[in-house]
Amino acid sequence: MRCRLLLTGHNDGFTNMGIDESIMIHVGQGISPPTIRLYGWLPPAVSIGYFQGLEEEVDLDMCKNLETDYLRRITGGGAVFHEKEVTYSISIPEADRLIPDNVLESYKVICGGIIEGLKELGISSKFVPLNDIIVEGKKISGSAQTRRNRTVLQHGTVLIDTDVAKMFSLLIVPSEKLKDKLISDVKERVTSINSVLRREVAFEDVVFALAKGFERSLDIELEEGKLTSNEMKLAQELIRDRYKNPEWNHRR
Amino acid sequence: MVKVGNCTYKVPNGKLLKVTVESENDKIEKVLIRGDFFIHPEESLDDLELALSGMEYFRKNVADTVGEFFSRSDLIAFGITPRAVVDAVMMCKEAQK
Repeated sequence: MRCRLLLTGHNDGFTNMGIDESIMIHVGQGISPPTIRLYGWLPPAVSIGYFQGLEEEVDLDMCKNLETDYLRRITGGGAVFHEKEVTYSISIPEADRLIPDNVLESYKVICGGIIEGLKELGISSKFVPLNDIIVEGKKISGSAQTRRNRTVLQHGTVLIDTDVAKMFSLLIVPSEKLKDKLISDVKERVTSINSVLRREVAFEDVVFALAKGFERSLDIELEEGKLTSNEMKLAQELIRDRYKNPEWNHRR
Repeated sequence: MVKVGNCTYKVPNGKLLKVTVESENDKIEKVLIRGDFFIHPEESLDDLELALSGMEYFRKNVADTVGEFFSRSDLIAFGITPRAVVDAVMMCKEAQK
């Protein structure tokens, strides 16, 4: 099967989420082909899950100080600090042979692409339900999925590097007293490509490896394409009406 | 008098649930359920919050409504269970005291 590959480089969080949703809608309407997109975040951003309370999870003043955007995703799951990572998204009809009906199974199938991509970089990893990929017991990737209009959108992060202290300055922690303990706990539980390989790996190299990983794992042929003008137009509307809209971001 | 109760509840083998309940004279006025769980379709959680509003604030009523919600045929949930939602909503009542 052929699948479109979009390499959109680094964009701000509003644009990134607007593009993902726009692609999903166009795939759902049968206008756009199944698509895998690989991208980064600039400036860095905190995204929260669909059901999370914004001010409960994110220190908005600190975000302003550290020039970090914040926004609510259309997918569930937890708060994520996006900085040194490659994010993937896949939009594909539910009916596609690649996608098991069972949501749990479909996470596993799609995450297979990440595992194969990490292998390409010399990292051996495994899937842990519901939505994590771990290396030597530590999390290196997390994903979230939604299904609308008989279309699956799954997006997730692959960490190139981590800054746990910075992450916790942006997220609300239950108590300042426990903050140091929390930081050391998370350092024990989270890893990154750079940390595993003990060298600095370039964004482009991770992108290339993940593209290969998806091709091999899903047995598809990726063909590099571009966002269509309609996809861009809808993305702009979603950025304005949803992702930059305080009503959306503060709704819980 | 309107009372507000909050509760943070770790779902056994699941995600973190944060619930706020406003009530007056043992009648639920408003419920807000937040957390890092997954529910498909996402918008359906609004229906549960709405269904709980206006209800007598007793465990049995809450459990019936929550149970009915989770048994909807189109609903898929991860990291959150009917039991956990009921427990958390009732813990908010304790927290109001």
